[in-house]
Amino acid sequence: MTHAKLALFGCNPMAMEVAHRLRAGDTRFVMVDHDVALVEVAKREGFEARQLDYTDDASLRAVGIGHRIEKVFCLLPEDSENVFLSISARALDAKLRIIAVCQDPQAAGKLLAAGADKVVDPYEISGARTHDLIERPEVVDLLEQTVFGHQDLNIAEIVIPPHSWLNGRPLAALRLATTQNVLLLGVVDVEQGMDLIFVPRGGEHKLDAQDVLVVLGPRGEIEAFRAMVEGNPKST
Amino acid sequence: MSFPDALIRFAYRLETSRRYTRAKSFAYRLLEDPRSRLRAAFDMVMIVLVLSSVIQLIYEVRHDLGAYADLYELFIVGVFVIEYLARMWLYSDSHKILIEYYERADLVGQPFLLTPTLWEIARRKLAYMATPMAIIDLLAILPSYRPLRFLRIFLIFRLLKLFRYAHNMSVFGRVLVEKRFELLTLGLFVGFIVMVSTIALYLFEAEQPDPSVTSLMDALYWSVITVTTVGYGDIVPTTTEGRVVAMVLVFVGIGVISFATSIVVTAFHEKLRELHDNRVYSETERLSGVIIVCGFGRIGQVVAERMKAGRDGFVIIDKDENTVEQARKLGYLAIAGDATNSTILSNLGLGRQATHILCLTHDDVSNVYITLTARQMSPDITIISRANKAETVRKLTQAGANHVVRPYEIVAHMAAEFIGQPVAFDALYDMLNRNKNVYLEPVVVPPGSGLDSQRVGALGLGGQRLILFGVVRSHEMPATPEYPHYELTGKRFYFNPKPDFHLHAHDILMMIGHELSLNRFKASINRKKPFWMHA
Repeated sequence: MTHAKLALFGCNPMAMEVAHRLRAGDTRFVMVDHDVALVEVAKREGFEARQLDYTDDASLRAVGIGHRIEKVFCLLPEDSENVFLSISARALDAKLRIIAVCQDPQAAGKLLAAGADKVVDPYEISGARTHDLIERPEVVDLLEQTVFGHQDLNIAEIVIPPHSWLNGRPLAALRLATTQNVLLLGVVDVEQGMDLIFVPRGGEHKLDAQDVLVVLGPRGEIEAFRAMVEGNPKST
Repeated sequence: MSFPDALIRFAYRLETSRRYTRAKSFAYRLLEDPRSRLRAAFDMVMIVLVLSSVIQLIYEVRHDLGAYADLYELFIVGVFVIEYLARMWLYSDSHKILIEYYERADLVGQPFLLTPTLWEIARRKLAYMATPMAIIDLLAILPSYRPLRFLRIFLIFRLLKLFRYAHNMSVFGRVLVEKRFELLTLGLFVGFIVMVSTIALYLFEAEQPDPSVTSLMDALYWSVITVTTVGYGDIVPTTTEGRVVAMVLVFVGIGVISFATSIVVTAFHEKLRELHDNRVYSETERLSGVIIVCGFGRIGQVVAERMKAGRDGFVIIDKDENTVEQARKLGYLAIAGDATNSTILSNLGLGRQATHILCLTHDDVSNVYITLTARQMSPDITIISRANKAETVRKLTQAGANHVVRPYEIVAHMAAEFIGQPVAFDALYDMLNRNKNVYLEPVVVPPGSGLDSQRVGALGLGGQRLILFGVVRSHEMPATPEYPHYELTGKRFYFNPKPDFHLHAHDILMMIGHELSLNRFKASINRKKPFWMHA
């Protein structure tokens, strides 16, 4: 039996929601909480859950942080708990990816300082979504039913491999070579920062290995596009 | 045709007459409707009329103003009389009583009797005339009756008429009415004390040689002046017994005054919230479109912040007084109350100028209840509701919510996407939330514009540095099988349409681009098509 590479801290309703979504995406993970009752609920739902005291480094090691675990979700109800967990996990493993939720917007900065890579503010996002529903209901509807929904329209990222024919070519060349039904939104040059270079404005941008292409499209078309990017231009 | 028959026919004519209904509803809006702007304007005019007439009548006491003043007085009295009659007319629908009595008689097969019917009509009108405000209105007309000079005293009633028009003033009256039990108790107590002290003082003082108290009236006057702690000192007791009475009365007086003050102060304190709420209601009334936000938790705060930036009119309602206080400090319109209360929602414009209602409380049960209430009161309002549990979504939709926001689902979604493709998801997320200058913007194709029946390839979007994400088209348009599409509710979505895809009026272009490019594009389509392009 292979071990989970993802640890999910918290068995509260929000964590359960995340767990269901992860299971739908065939991701293996282990859930951790200190509340026996909540752990029982998670087990009844069929998740792999453990009751542990996460303030204790030994317990964190027992879950696998420091060796097996690559990603951690901190979904505990209190900001202070998530901060403590982030600090503890970061101390055990410098390369770990830590994603945390925050309740109070002021806690976001503290979580980042504690070592979290990404902070999600559920209320901020929900508020923004609600406001979008007032201002631009068409856009929200469209995305919820396509990209975020169950239809075959997805967002994907494709990393340019070192041996790709695109290496050193301008972005415009890639656009000309694209015959698939995909929409190339832009490229993120990891060396220059995490900002998206938007396609119509960055035609002269030189692509190189490790650049990340951001595309939208049906799954099959994206795969064909990926093959084209990663493969030999003559074969496409 | 007999007289009763003619009367009944006339009543039925009125019942069906649209002009009559319109006239009555106009009078209602002018005089009574607490929400109408017309009434507010009318009140202002009436206040000016009342004040000017009072000033004129006072000035006339010592000066002669000539014929114009008489004309003006006549005009004002005319307005007052018309207003009085109009209010009486509004108070009850006489023709409806007539019809009701006639139909009732018809139903039980008895002959229709005119006298009891007319008596009922008169009884209703008399009931109106007996209301305090109606009496004040009537008395306010009297001072202009010249032959009876003493009627001038009714000028005071003209001032009392102001109560009708200045609504905050009437709160004072309501405070006193609400506290009538306490005030009555206090009054009885004071009356008793004053009576005892009056008699006592008279008994002790009046038989003295050269008394300052010569009658029971003197004793009463002294008692009242003392018990209210005014104490003019024109009448003073000279006997020891009289002074003892005075000392006791002074202490009772202090108690009475402080008790009376505390009654009035607490009553006003209780009314303060109502006054504040009324201000919020009237300010909400002035907005042309209003968004009702139920619940001012974290989500409500984020939405409010964004709406304030977008200059939308909105009003917040929350159960918690402290939360409401916090919202008010931020300069928002806010009311403390239960959002499940349909009266409050109605006062905030639900069913009238409210365009959206956001049910954002922490409690799914409340959200469902508010959604249901709102949908019943207003069939066409947009309801956006929050659901914490997945199973609430269906209930909310069933209750009439147009959109459901689930905070936990959003987190779950973001977390799941973040594992697979963090970079792409961040990029899309920024685009949707307008964190950067590049974003997704819907552009509707106006009928008859340059975009109507244009090919996508001819738009020159690449040159304008725009990406067409896709086109949303209503189901009412015929399907175009040559282009693949995604099914949305009531709409089709054509993703990344080919250059030969033809646009139609009312299509929505989903454009991605820099803010400036998008604005330029939107400005260009609103320009008129050049004449040579009409073919």
